[in-house]
Amino acid sequence: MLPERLCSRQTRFTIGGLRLAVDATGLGLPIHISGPAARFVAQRDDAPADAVIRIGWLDEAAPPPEPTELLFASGGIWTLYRAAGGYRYDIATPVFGPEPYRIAWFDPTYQTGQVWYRRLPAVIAAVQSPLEYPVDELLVTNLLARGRGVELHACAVVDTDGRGFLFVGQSGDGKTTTARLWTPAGATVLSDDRVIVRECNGQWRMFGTPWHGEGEFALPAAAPLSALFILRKGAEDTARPLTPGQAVALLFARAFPPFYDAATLDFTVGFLERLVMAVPCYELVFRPTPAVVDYVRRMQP
Amino acid sequence: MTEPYSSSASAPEPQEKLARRPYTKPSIVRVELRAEEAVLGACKTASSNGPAQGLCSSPIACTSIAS
Repeated sequence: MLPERLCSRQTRFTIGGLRLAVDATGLGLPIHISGPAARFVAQRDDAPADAVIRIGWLDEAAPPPEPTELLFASGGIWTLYRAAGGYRYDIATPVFGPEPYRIAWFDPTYQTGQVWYRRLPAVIAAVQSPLEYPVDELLVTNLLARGRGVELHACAVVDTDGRGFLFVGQSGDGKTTTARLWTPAGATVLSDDRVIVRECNGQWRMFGTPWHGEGEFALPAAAPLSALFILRKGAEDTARPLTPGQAVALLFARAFPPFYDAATLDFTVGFLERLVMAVPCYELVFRPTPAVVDYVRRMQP
Repeated sequence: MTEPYSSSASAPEPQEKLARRPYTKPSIVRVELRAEEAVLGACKTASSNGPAQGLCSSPIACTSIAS
């Protein structure tokens, strides 16, 4: 059974080494954080937060700043506008009608922000976590893209000898399959869908995130990164080294940078270039059998 | 005072010449970027493999389950 936490209305999350302070006092609701997100609730400490977010109701708090320019339509549940010198996300779903049921605003650095919920019975009943998807992931990916790292579509495995392998792939490429193959072999899976990569004190590290895949692998832990594999299903197990150019292109197409911000894209491409120059990168064609675990271990990447 | 130019001064050693990789013609390789996945525009649920925001009964509680 997944853990559940009844949190105070001031909660801290640690995701990818980033400290997120969330003040939901304005909601006036008890906060039950359940599922994998509960694992990322951090103990209160005096360390400064990377981002401070306040949560409230649209009809009570000061209203969100008016949008002045459409920046990006995601084609899904959110739309991004420029507003008051920062970024405003309008989040809407047909379930709650045409109006946004939630609006988030962040300053240009994403270090401070506010979230407003529309006070509807269905919304009140559904609120589970003060910083719910996609706001949490949009916040983290924007913080990362401002000089801190990158989030990849990947499965992170820590082998029994401590080596960290990152298996990178788009939907259907076999990330959860990979997680399920490595677990019986004694390895620890940090995530089967979204992994944060950062360079910390000269060491490349991979972090688990709450945004898991079908296998629900989501650990609030990190490990050194020893090798990267771009996943591709095939008829046999085989790996070939990638050139830096190939590796950067394939990783970029499996990353989650803010595509609507040129400066952050520039950082992300440079970050990936430094990553592939430091960590061996391979294309791994594999069959979904335990033999691929032995194959990778024998490679000694 | 500078040394006179010598064509051999900066010329690679014979072994370096042998180690050179053969010339390969530049080529363009297309890499697929799936925009619907990359922009975090939609969530996925355990019961539907794809954007589900129009079908999801509890979008707030979505945890971005994906494959």
